[in-house]
Amino acid sequence: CSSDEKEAPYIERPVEQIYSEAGNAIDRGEYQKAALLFGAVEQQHPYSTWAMRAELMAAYAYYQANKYEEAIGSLDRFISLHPGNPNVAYAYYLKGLCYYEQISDVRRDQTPTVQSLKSLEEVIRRFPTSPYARDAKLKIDLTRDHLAGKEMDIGRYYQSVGLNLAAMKRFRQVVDQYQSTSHVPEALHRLVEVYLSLGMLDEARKAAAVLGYNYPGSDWYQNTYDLVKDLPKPRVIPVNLTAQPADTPAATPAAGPRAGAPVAAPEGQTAPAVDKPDAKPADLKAPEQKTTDQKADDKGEKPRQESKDRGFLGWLFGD
Amino acid sequence: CTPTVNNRGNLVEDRRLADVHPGTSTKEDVQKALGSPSTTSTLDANVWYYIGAITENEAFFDPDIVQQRVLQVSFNDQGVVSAIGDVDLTQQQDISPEDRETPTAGHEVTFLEQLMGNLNREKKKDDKKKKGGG
Amino acid sequence: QEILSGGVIKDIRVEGTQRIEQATVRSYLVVSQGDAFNPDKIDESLKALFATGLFADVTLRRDGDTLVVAVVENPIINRVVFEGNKRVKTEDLQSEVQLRSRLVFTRSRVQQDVQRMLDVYRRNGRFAARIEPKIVQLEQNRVDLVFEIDEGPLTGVQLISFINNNIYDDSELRDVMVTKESRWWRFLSSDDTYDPDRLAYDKEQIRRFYFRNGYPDFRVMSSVAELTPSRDKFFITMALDEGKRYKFGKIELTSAIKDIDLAPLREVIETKEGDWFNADKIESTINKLQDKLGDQQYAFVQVDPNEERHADTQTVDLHFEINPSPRVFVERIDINGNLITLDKVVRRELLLAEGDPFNASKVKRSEQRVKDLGFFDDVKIKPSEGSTPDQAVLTVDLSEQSTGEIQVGLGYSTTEGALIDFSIRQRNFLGTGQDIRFSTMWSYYSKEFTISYTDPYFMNRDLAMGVDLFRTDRNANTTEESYSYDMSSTGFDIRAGFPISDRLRELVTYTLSHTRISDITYETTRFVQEQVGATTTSSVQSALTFDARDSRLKPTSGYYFTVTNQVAGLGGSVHFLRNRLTSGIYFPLFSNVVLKVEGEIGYILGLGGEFVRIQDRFFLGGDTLRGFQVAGVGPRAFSSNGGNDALGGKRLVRGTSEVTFPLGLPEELGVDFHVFTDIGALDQSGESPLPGDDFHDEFAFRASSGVGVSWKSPFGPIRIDLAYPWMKKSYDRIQQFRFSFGSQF
Repeated sequence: CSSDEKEAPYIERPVEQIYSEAGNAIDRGEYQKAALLFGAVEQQHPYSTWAMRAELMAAYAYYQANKYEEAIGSLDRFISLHPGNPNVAYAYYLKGLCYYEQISDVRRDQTPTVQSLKSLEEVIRRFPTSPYARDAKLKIDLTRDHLAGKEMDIGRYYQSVGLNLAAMKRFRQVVDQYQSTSHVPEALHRLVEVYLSLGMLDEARKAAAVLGYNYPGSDWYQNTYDLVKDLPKPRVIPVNLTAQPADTPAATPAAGPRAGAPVAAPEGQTAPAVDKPDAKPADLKAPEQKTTDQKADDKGEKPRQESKDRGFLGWLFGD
Repeated sequence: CTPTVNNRGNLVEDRRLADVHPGTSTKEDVQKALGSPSTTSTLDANVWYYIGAITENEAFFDPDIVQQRVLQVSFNDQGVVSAIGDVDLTQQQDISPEDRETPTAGHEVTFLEQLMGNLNREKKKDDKKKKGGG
Repeated sequence: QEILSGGVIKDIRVEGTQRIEQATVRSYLVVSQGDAFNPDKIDESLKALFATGLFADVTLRRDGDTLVVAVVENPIINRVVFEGNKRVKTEDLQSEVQLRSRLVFTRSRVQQDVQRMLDVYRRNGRFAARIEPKIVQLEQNRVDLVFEIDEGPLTGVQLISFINNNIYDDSELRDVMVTKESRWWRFLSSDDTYDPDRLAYDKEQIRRFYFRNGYPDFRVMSSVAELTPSRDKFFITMALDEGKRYKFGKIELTSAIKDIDLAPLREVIETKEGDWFNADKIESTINKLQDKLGDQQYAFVQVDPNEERHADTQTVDLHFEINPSPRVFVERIDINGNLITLDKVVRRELLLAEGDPFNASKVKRSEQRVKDLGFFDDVKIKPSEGSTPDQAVLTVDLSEQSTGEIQVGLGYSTTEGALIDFSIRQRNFLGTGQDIRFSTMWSYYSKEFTISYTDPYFMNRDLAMGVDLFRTDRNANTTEESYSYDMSSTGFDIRAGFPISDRLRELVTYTLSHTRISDITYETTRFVQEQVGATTTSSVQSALTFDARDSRLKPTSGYYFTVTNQVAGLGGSVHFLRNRLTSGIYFPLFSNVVLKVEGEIGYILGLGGEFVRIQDRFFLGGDTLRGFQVAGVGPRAFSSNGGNDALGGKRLVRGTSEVTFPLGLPEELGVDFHVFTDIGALDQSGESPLPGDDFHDEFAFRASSGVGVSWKSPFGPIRIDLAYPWMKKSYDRIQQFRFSFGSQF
């Protein structure tokens, strides 16, 4: 535990007395005091059967008191000392929660989000059948959604200052790496916006097709549809390398002659190998009217979980 | 007074294009000559794009583009260059981005919290400070 | 342990566990039920159990077909106590030591902790420290760990001496070093204690010193530090090999890339043929060439210097070669450590965006730009390889410092008397980079309130927009005879600042203020009496600044100039044009001694011949002309009944030259001495003399010279100035001693 933890007054007392006092402190919600008392149990009676439980209870009390650093410290100790204990699953899960609670908004440092993802994934990997795996899975989705939110925030910044290539890379990152998150529809729409401002009409149409096919009811598709429904035919001017182009010096500011004379665009524009949607880009479907029930892309629960998990107490005080 | 000049993205000069020959050059040749593609097509990994520009910005005005190029290099299924072309930049659309955002959550730093500086994560002590005077 | 091989392990029995579960012990065993009794496997299990560090002793023996694992658990630490540490605080030791209450006690960990504590003492210059760990057995296999510490004396550096240094003598070389010999007057500094890291740094300093002065072959053969038997003093000896002195020979600049114009690049080369060899000049030439190429938009070029040493002619030929560097692009920029600051507040300072060509000098300049924000005490941008060899990932690691300031100050200055000031400021409001400040100042003669807000990147553009609201009341100050009337003004201004080029910056400010002059005293001159009343000023001001100084906070070289033009008359009751030119040059004389020469000329013109009111005129004296009172110089009227008023002037010329030096005290004390000379002249009040007032208005230079001390003391900045005005007019108001002290707590 960190060095600034106030040492409980050091008086030797029978273990049961300290333990029940700590339990009452939890019930009264005095988590800080409870954590110190559980710490005392472990310190004075390390070999009693209570010590192991006290170690976990100390972590739980620290977690409730939002002292995440201390909670993680004592959880790590529990995990290393009692790898075989049936409650080690809960220890991993609580550790994931400690990081999860510290997730700050997308525009700031996301280290706790990454740590939370790592420890929650460990819960699923080691204890797939434990009661905590289900909630860990839900929290993993929300954490990944959060990381996707950060990519979008940076992408929107680059777009707002006209750095379209940088914005495009960030939005592509969301589409490629975070496919199951709530940000994909917006990412696809942003890609359409960026492709259009760069003149890549063909790519804009393709991205619109993917968005229309996968999220027909989404507002984002409505926005995209308005942008792409009456686009001119995309033109790509072939670079004719036969005529020796004037030797433009290496990236000097002097604007070199445009590559090749503007030649009529080739007719047979091969249809893009659209693997996801079967709809050809030409016949983009009009967006469906939103049904009254929940829209596909807004997720209810926020990562910051107000109510702490009560399941654990049942185990402890139950028997 | 001279505006600040910026090199954005991967602006392919014609000189470097001379080493790329449709029908013979493979993806590795293009990678060696022009570098990694700025991006690939959303749906088709066989279409590479090289996007680059030189911009000048003065004071706080929007940067104006001195030179820009969006080069498209398409490969056939064997990964050999089938076509090279410039996207027609006159087709660039002037769009204003949608200002709606997909909601995200997470703990917002409040003013008081910043003033008191008691963020719930302790700052790691910098060991330089531990050297301390004699 | 005679484990007979052969037979199958039917059962495994674990004995002696108290705190650790049997299952945990079994999980570390390599053998399990049903395996054969195989000595190697069992030996492996033994090693595995020991490796956990949980057990003091482990024995494996065979009881028939049962493998018996007997363990003795390591004791648990109940408490860790430090005794005898005076110089180093317990918390510092605690954070250095790994063992804590409730952890497992092992002999090896105690030894490591003792070594860690000795390192702390070494770093603080106490090499004679001794530490004895003691164990107090408690029941239930627990121990209290007591570290008995004998800190011993400070081990100072008695003597630093050099061998075969024929060109520079010992004292010259000692000046180059940071480590100093212990002397009684160095009680404040810790530089005279022995610290091996600092000594290694000193070796490097001496090497660079010789390289700067023409000795490329210089080498430090050996550097030895012997401890005296009394273990409190060190003798340091360095053996050198200076080598011969070289000059620069032929200097060449070529480029492997065609059509690079070499002419402008040649001007930047600092290494001239015939000069003494100087490694620093070579380095700064390379940086300058690199920057110039960067400005000409050559994204992938690097400058490689090759030296050719001719021992016979003792000359070094230099050939600067411009070669293409590998084409690398920035794949991704990750920003970490911004707990409060928003990502975009940092990202917008970077000169590179994702996808751009990688450019080392732009990365360096970006790091400096983020540091200049003043929100972080540490900024590091580290490139690492991206997903393909020709792509790089930039990681920006930040450690934030508090940007909120609450200052409550008690001060005294000879012009204002006792004063109280209170200000609350947040330079990085909610991490958005916006600056919000509220400040107020109360003294016997004047009261001020200001609220100001600035957004450095308005609408994501490089445009700093700001708003200030202000109110100042200044009462008559008959005792000091500077102002004999009350003046109060209230108003607001809106300002916008933006860069024209990377050194030239423009600041446009619109100001609307309402000023009232009142409560004149019996002695006030008739002239001022006519100016009683209120006026509204609505003005636009443009301030164009060219700043080529090396730093804004503590400039040591470079120059700046500012041209300010203010037009009042867009509405409001006052119409004038006020122009000012201010310029300053800084000369670094020798190590951290700086000469500053600064000048200002100003002129006000009443538009349409309008009479310029007293509150809009220039005044001279106090801070602007030391040795004289505030408004102590310039046109002055004397009323028939003994009062007098400074009328201010429309034409101002002033200049100052000041040398600042630390006078040998260590820098961290923050004490600076100043020697200065101020000159100034103010005239053209534009008044025709009124009957009943005696009147002076002439263009005559005043001058004063003096010394000053400034000290950034722990409880606030103190400044004392003593100036003697050796060129003055009879009617000027003198003030030779100025003192100001402000405390923040």
